[in-house]
Amino acid sequence: MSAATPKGRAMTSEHLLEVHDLQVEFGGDDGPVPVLRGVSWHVDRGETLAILGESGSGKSMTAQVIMGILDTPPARISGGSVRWNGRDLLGLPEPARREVRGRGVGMVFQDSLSALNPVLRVGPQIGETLRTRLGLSRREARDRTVELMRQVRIPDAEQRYRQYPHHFSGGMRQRAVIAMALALSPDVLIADEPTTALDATVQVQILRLLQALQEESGMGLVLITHDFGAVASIADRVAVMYAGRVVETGVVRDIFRRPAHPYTKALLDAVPRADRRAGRLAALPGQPPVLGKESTGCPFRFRCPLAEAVCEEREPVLKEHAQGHWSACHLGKDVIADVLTAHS
Amino acid sequence: MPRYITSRVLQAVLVLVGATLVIFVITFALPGDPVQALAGERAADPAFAEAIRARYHLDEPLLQQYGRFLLGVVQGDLGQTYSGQDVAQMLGERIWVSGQLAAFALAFQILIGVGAGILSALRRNGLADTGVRIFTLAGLSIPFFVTAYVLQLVVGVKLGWLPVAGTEDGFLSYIMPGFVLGSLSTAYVARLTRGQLTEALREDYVRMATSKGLTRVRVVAHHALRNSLIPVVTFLGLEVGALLSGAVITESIFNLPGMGQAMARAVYLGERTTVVGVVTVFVLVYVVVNLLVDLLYAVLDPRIRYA
Ligand SMILES: Nc1ncnc2c1ncn2[C@@H]1O[C@H](COP(=O)(O)OP(=O)(O)O)[C@@H](O)[C@H]1O
Ligand code: SF4
Ligand SMILES: [Mg+2]
Repeated sequence: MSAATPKGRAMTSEHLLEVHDLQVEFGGDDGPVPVLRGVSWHVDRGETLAILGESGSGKSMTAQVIMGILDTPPARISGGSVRWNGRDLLGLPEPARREVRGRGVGMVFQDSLSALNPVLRVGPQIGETLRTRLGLSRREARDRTVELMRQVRIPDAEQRYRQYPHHFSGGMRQRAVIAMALALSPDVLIADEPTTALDATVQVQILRLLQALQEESGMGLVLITHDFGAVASIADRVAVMYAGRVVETGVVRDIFRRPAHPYTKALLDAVPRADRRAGRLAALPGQPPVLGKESTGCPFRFRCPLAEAVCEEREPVLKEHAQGHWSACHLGKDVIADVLTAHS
Repeated sequence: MPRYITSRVLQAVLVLVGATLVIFVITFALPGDPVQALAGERAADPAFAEAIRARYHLDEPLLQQYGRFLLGVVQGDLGQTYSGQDVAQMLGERIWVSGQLAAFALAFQILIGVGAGILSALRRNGLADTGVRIFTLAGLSIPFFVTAYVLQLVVGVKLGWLPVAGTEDGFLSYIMPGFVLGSLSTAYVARLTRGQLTEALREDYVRMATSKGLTRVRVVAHHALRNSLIPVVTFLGLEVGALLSGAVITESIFNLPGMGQAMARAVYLGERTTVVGVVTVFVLVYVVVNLLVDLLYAVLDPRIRYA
């Protein structure tokens, strides 16, 4: 199971955050079941990387490995590395790992309701690390927290500070979670489907907020999302995941204009055109593959309109089809483009 | 909030009236004639019996006696024993002993139960976890008076570490009985804590707390534990009832002059006033403790608001 990695570049220069050939498996009854099968991507300062993919493709799992909050067991990290400013995080002892959390890499969880502790007031929750990690006094932490709450556009921050999560609307809760993740000004913020549980208009607001915060601070932003519309407007680069792997990655314009993988193309086609705001992915026909050790060949072949004999024999690796545009498909990029255009 | 408290106090009064009425009827139906019991072996002199009946209003209908009793309770008067002792005063002396016993038992349950529960949740399948499981099984399968006799024999008589019975040694006298009484549910408290904490540790807000770089101790103590303890507090509130009834046996085994022992003796002697008096105090304690537990919820969980 060798890495499908954009070699050369990825290895020579130092990225702000780089995931390389990450492999995670779960202990099943009949041997380990692979869940991440060599995930590689990177993000740099001031850049937004969008990670796209169906539910179950391993997006959250990747984030959990980076944060070091994956439950092992039952999961097992069987290979690969996570580098932050060139330091391998997976090998670090827990105290050093803890230092990186929140300051090096911060994370916003998918479900803002469950990400806030229901029995603690919102303000002190947001500012907790200001006291425990920066050693600010109660008063200083409070002032800074209110500032943070203003920064994420929570109105009446002074009053809101003392309220409990159940007094907050969904959008406000998500803002509070973002403020909490930003408290220590991390180099990288990972936002795991930050808008999934919210109304369409609130979704747009939250994405705009993330974009604005990213531009203000120059941090790297990893945006895990279903929302293709969001990707188009705020991401610089995209990584498309399928069945525990990145199957296509490149700058957002290339991905949108000339998708080089049938799966990406299918995702794009599934976005309803009439109403871009509802830009949630409609379900693709067919089921995502059930991963097991027996899988050989391209995992997308059962749903792929272009599948050929070779697709059953070997799993394709990421290849650079054009400058900075990588795809894992046996067919060449031009072939895909031509055939797919003919298809639609 | 005032409305809530008012309704709870009303509820408490209803519970108190109901429970005492039930115990009143039951003691009334007890076999044996109290007057005859008082007189002992020889047949009671009819004049004497008449006097006693009149003095204790035994000749009145049940409900009238009950009304008289309630009237007394309101004034802090629980009546007199057949030997002329004031029941309220007698229980007032004994409640201190029972209170200490219950406090020790609760302390054991909290320290050992909650402590072991936390350890076993943090290190699942570790030493503490296995220990808790064995302890739970033992706690459930061995009757607690057996535990009591074994401890008395080994720790008290053989090793001589702790007094076997009585209250002459003050503080030390309560350790063994407190442990025995508390052991009834310590294992359950440990299990409950373990389950609740294990669940809480999987919550997103706990993962979030970890991912913002807090230490494990802070994550567990500040974020996970507080939510997990809510059901434990509920249980301990209800547990006070079990401790009170457990005290009847424990105090008898360890010869502690508490309310439970008074109760056991009174039942044996057919001493109705004392039985009813003890039950009244038990119900009062139970109702008050549960009210306090309810109020404690609101402190632990801000989502709960009483209206
Ligand atoms: N405890 C577990 N045991 C076995 N498989 C799991 C477990 N948790 C998650 N998975 C699998 O890991 C895969 C990746 O999940 P996840 O990263 O949450 O997907 P995504 O975030 O892309 O929707 C899924 O296919 C899921 O079935
Ligand atoms: S490798 Fe074959 S099956 Fe897989 S995406 Fe390409 S054409 Fe489809
Ligand atoms: Mg997910």
